[in-house]
Amino acid sequence: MASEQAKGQKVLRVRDLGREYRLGAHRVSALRETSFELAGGELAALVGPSGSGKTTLLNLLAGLETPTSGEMYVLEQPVHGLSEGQLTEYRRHRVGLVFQFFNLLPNLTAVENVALPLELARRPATEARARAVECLLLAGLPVERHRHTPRRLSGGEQQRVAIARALVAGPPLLLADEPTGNLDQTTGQAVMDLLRMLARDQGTTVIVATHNPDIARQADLVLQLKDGRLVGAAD
Amino acid sequence: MTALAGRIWNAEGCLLTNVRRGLRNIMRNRTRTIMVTVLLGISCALALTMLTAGDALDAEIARIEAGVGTLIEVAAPGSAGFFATFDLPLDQDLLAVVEATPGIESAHPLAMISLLRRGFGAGLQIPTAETRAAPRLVMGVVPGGPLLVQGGSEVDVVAGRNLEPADDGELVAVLSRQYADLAGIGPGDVLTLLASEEEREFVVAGLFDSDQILANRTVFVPLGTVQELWDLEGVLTHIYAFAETIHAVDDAKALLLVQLGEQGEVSTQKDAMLGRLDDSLSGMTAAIRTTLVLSLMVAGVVVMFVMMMTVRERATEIGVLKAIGAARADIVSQFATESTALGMAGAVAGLAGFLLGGRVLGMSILQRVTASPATDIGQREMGRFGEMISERLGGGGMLGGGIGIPGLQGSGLGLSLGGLDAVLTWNSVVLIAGLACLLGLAGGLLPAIYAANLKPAEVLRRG
Repeated sequence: MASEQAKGQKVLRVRDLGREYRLGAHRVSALRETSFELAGGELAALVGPSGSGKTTLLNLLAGLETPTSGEMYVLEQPVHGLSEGQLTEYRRHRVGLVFQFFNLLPNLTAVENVALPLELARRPATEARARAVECLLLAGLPVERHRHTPRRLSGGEQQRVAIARALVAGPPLLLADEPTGNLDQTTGQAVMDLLRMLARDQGTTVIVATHNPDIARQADLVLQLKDGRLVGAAD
Repeated sequence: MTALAGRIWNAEGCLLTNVRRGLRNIMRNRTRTIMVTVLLGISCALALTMLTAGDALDAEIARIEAGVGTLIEVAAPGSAGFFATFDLPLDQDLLAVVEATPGIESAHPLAMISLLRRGFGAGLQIPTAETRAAPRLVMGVVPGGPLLVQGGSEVDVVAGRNLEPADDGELVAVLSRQYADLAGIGPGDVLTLLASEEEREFVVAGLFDSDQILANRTVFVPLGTVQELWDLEGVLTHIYAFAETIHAVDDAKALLLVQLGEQGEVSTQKDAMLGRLDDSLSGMTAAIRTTLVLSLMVAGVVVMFVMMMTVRERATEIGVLKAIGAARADIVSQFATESTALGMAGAVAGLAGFLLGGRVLGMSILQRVTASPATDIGQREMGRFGEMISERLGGGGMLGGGIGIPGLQGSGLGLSLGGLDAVLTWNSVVLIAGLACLLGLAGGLLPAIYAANLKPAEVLRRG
């Protein structure tokens, strides 16, 4: 798997990354001159108040938006300046996303949700299913729950499915936006344990955006954002 | 094509996830899907009804046209119509003009002499109680040519012999067997007719059979003889021309109108018999077609609105799909599949709706057509050609007003319109199903493209 091979090596390199939005005649900087690096297997917490640029940075790292300045490399491959088609490929193979509200497809079972990224990448359905089951087990969802639709799963289980979906293509980079924000403390901690395990055992580089200081304390590195700037990076 | 197939089938020959997902998404909101299917079903059922009714009318128009024949009548000015003066002179040289007109297959010079106009029963051999069946028309025809009765039908000699070229100028006649039986004469006997105030004795050469009143009251005499006896030297009263096909009638008539100018009146059997009836049916067909198109357009608009609503509802989901690696084509194909499947469901519902009630509606529409005043007028306008239509359409019965049209019995209205039936054919089913799918696809395409163009970061931020 790509993430296991990336363990210990430089997975993410961000240099002077910036993003501006045009609001009428004005330009608003959501992110400015942000630079940091992360190695394979590292878990970073992205903290900061609302409007500090956390989501913008995650969107740029996820390839959902393109930066207006700066550079960004994943496994030394440039991500800035990619075309839409190349960004789609990047999202398929290089990055996995976990959302606060899970965002599972409601009419698909757990295993179908997890297999979806591989099927979108035109991988054979049988291979995608097998890999999905593997990831669900890794994420801690019991086999008897694999054929359940999200409606029949608890919040914690849904987030495990979402994490399994983010992992299924074996991306070196996993981005989680408030992954515990919609869960109780115990379940949230279980999800964090899972993310830490993935970083440690799978070599996946994980970035968790959070408001929760307890979650942030469990990270190898805390990236502090304020007014669109990275004001601190502490171990 | 390969790229398209790649969007539908995966390497294992299975439906791609986006197509499967599109199909599964149909039932995500059951209430809405059922309502949309019902709406589409109504549109499709209405379209099927209109299609079958239109087909029935088209078939009827074609059948009537086929029965009408291709006669184009050229007469002296003032001679055309039911109350025509038959023996107004028409220049014989016009025959060559008519024959040379494109679209004309054959042209026959005629000299028609009305005996009724000269006093009922005048010149008759037996002015008795049977005079109602007495000859009323002397038809001067080219000896050896077809025996054409008024209206263009041809009769065949069944006893004795036909007129021959050598008979031209001679007092020889061919008459109906019905009249010959009434008069107690046959081939070789003498028939007396009043010609230019003078009694003339004609030798009966042969007899013909017909079940038409007008034909039975016609006496065929060589053209030269009629011209000589009734002072029509060098002139005719009519030219009966036949167009090559029913579709060539209108063009040939238009050409003749230009070429003959004021020298002759041109009328067609098609105009006389169908006239406003044809216009009425064609108008109804056009109305039916318009309703059909409108029904399908409504179906397309319904699909578009529903799919647009769906896309707006699933904006976050679309954002997630793009975030986990869906390309624009995946999004388009998913929603296009969903809308096409909705169209197909609508077609199935429409077929069920048609079978449950659409056919009854179609029949009701057709009955209204047959009962409309326009078709009644059309029927009345058939006038003197009624019997001939009856013969050409294969019927034989007579109905009130002297118009013998099969199918009129019972309804008393319309040109055989009682035979109309809204019959569902496989062609109609396939056509409507295809159109419904196509409209589903077309109606869903715009929302699908809109969905594919959604910015994932924006929709995910909005949640």
